[in-house]
Amino acid sequence: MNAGVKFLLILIVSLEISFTLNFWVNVAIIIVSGFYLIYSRLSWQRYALLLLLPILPALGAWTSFTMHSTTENGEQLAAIMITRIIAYIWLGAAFSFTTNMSSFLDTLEQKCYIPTTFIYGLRGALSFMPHIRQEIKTMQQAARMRGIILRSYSPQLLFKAILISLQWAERLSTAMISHGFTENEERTHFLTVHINKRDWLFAFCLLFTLQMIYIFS
Amino acid sequence: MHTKWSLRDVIFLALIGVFFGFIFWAWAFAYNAIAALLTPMGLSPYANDLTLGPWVMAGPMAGYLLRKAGASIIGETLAGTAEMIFGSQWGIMNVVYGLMQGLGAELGFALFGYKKWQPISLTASVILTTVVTFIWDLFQSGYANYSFGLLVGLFVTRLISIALFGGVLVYYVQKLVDKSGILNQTKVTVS
Repeated sequence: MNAGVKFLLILIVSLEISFTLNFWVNVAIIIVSGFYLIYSRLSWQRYALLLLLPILPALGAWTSFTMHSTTENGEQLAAIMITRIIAYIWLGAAFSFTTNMSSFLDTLEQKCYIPTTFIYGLRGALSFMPHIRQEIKTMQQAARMRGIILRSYSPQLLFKAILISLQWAERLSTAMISHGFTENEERTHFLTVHINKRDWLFAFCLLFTLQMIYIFS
Repeated sequence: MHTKWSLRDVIFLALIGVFFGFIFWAWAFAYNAIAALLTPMGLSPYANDLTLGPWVMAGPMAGYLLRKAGASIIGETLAGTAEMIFGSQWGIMNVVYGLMQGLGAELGFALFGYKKWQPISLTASVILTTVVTFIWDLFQSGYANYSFGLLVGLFVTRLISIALFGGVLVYYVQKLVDKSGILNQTKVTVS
């Protein structure tokens, strides 16, 4: 399925369950996203993570809604909230664990017409992600050599992060421009994104089924 | 104030989002620990509100550094997107959370026509971020069904957390930035 269509579908479904209280809809979403995740063949660590992650929030939702809710039927509400939490996590995983970010950004650029400056700026910044953990460690160790301990809430650490961001942004944008990137200029594409009619149809059918469950449950 | 977005601005914003996201990624552990402690009393939503502050920092910080309409909302949304790509447990909702948190900060600065970048506009952004995210959680996290007393407690907790991180801490970082003068430097423009 095209990344953009998947994103849109998951976003609509997530927003819809945020504003409605329906246990069976949540269960249906959990089942469909569960099947999709199994079909996507993730590593067993990721499956374990997906099973473990909801436990604590679910317990929290159970105790808080059964003890502090204003409705008489706290258990029912708690069940809806617990299934909602699992639905969010699995829906999120159905996107972020299975989607190639680069092709998602391709779709945003070519089909949603987001300005190329944003798309390529984001691509550039994302390529720094692997260095960020190291950079923060470097800052902390450099400070420790002078006997200063920088914690994650120290203004100095955040200030240094801003300085580094500015420096990297300056260098990267200069490098990109000197390699021929022109801001918001029409671009040609090596890989053109095509969204199959089948993808739209599939997404529409899923959404339609979901509305039917709302009506008949 | 100029509103055109250059490539450098976008990269800068996204990097700030990623850095802030990563620095406070450690807070997920604090969040889980607090949530685990409060769960037996049914008070786990307090963990939400207590730890919210760090996550809303990117918005006011970006607004202050770039001084543009839209910087807070775009900065915070980019931070949310980056967090999603990092592999956060909340997936797509990160983008929506980012949008909501950025919206609050943005409204605070918009109230002053993007002309005041002082404690007063920061205060407005803190209050509006609290209100906007709280309204969002009334639906999204089912807060609307909690008793009134718990809601008041949660709101006050959230306000304090956002005031400390999105207000006081941002203010001190801003002072450091001001003192260094990096924002007043003539920018290297390549075009």
